[in-house]
Amino acid sequence: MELENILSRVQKPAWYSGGEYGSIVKDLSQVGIRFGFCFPDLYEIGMSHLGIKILYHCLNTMPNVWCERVFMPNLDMEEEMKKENIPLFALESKDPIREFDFVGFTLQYEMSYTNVLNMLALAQIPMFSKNRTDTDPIVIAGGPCTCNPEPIADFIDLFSIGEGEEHLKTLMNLYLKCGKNRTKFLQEAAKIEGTYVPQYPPEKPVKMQKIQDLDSVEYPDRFVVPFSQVVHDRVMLEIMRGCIRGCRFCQAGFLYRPFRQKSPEILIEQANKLCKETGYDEISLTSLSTSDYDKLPELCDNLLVYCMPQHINLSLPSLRVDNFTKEILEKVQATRKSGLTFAPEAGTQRLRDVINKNVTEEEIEHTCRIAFEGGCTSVKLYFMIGLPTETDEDIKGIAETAQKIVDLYYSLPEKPKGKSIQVTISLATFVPKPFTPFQWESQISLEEIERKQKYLKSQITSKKIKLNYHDGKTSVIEGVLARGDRRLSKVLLKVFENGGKLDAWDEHFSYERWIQAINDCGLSVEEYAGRKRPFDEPLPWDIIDIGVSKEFFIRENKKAYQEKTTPSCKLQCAGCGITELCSGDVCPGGKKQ
Amino acid sequence: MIRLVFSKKGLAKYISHLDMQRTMQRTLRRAGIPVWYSEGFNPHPYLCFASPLSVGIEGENEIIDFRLAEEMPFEEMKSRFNQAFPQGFTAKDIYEGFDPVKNIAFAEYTLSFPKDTQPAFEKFWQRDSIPVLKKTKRAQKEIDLKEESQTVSLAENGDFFDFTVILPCGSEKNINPQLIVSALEENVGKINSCRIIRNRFYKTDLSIFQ
Ligand code: SF4
Repeated sequence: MELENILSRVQKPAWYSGGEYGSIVKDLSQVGIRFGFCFPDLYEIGMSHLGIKILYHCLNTMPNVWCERVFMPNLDMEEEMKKENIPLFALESKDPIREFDFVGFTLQYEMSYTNVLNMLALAQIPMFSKNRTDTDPIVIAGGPCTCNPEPIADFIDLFSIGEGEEHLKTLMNLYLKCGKNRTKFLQEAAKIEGTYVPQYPPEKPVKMQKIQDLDSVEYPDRFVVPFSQVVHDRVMLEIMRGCIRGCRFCQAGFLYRPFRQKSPEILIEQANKLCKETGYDEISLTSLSTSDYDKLPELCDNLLVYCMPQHINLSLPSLRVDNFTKEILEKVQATRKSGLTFAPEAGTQRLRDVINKNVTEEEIEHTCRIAFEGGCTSVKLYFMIGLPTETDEDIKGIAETAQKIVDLYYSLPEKPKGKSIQVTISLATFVPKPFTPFQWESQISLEEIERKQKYLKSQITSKKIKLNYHDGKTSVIEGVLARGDRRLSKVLLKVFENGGKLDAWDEHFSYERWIQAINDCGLSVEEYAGRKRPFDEPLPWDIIDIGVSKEFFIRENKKAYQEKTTPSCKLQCAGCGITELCSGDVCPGGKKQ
Repeated sequence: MIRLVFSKKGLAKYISHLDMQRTMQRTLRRAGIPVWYSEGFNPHPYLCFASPLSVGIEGENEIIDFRLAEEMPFEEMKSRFNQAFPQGFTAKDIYEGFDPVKNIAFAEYTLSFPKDTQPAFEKFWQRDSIPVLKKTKRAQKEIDLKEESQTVSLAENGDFFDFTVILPCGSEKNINPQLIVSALEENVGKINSCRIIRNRFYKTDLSIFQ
């Protein structure tokens, strides 16, 4: 009843009321393990995330496990919960998660770390792992950020490193085997591959878990369908994992190696099931680079046969420019006309060679031409500033690339009649991340970010070009956390104590609060993000083994400075080392070889 | 056109009118109801809701009209709806040949208050007039709740007492029963746990809308 009272006073009650179609409610008398799956951000973000859907499904296929969803409440809800002394609860049962066996966080981006602390506090669970006892839940974490678990390790009892579908199930069974005893479980779990228990430092680096065969791994046959609008509100079909490209700035490209595709037959079956089960009218193919999927035309054709009569839209994000064909464009447009997005990332060929983004001007032009002739009038371009070796010449190149697209549009006799073109540049700041060839690089300072942003703005003259960029301050802090070590847990705690939360949201993020906390702890931005690290310096994330070798990253770093590109895995294996863990479709010895 | 009568109870009351559109579209798809889609660039089913229900109010006999592309027996349709509805929704009736939505003039609501507020409520409702400010998008207007309320009744209901009232509910004039709760709260302080249900609609002559 208290919950009902506060729900009528908050802005988005549907974020907290549960009861969505597809949410799973179990009979408590049949359940041995209760698991609170926490996404450390607001409902609208968390519910858009595919990973939580996959793991929610996987855990709930175990008859004795009940996995429920937990999100970070918005500030108005948080205030009401505190007033009425309602601890953080799970959406399905509305039970407090502090009574659960497991509380699991998915760490998708560094700026969500303060939310983890806030959610633990709201749940009334001891903040530090060392202060938890047998009556407290076991707090675990997974997701891409756990490739460098150190900054948040003091707050987490156990990290599940890598792809969790099988690993989590193993952990659940182990927990039962240990008689649900916290100490015993953590001790035993530390011995299992893919597990990092900070209390028991590993002797060898912890190997990241990979799923060898995506066709046979579990995939949800239903999604929880939200009532309120969320960012991605559609059937998401994961068509493959990993990427053949090896862009040197891209952490995901290395973390999710090797390249593994699902077969079209399986995907079509899953799409059918999910559409029927959810009632969604849109399917989106998700992957790091959709156009690298071998049988994309076949997949699209077969999906469209099903989609068209049912009024279902098909969307293909993450298309690359270099192998974008008219055929594919037409397929997407068959169901919906939308703008095009491309990610050249750098403004000159030289810098694109440095970052190994194998895209040429001609290819960009070629693609835009097809798109324009197909009726498209808006193009969005993703670029970065602050890449290693970047000069103002490269930044100017960004403006020039956009201008060329505008000029191209007006030069075409077949352009859409009476319509003008809109080119949007979306500018991000490069943040060096662990497990990339640029993990040793220095990150540009806030002053440099702002100077470069201004410079680019001054280089844009056409009204048809719109420039979007973010305040650089978040990137600076993200950079500190990404390559941080254990000492940052003090900083996190301080920021949280000083009111820091929802830091991924501009309106809540306070740069000053972070800088203050970093300084108070006797640390500096320079030490973590600013300075260039030597190759032989031990790195905080050396305790994790993602399968891609350090030697490979050093090789790639050196090639970057020589402006030499590395061909895609499909053309030639670069010997990254991943086959020690798992062989992908195009790896030597892989299934498609 | 056919009409679906459904209830929206429990936590489903927190689903806003905007979210209802989406929720119904998805329910129709899940249920496999052969609903008619508009032609054109972005085809969508044509759904007509009788009257938006404010967030926090439950509905006993809510109404939605739509067109079918093919025939389907009403009983089958009803059971399909009930399979496909999210928690808190129940399909109650489906029929053809009905009053047009524009004929709705009133709605009947039941407000359940905790028993201990009954004396205060009765005193409050005995007044000759209860003026409140009604905010609209552009302005606020003073209205008299006493004057607007029709056929009022009180009934015991366990730990609660039920106050049933008919209020204007049309495109011309619409009065949210939550105004009664807030007016009462101004007099007796905050009331926890007041439940409001919209029971049914009426036409101008106070005959039942169906
Ligand atoms: S082993 Fe070779 S083909 Fe496989 S991911 Fe590494 S570089 Fe690519």
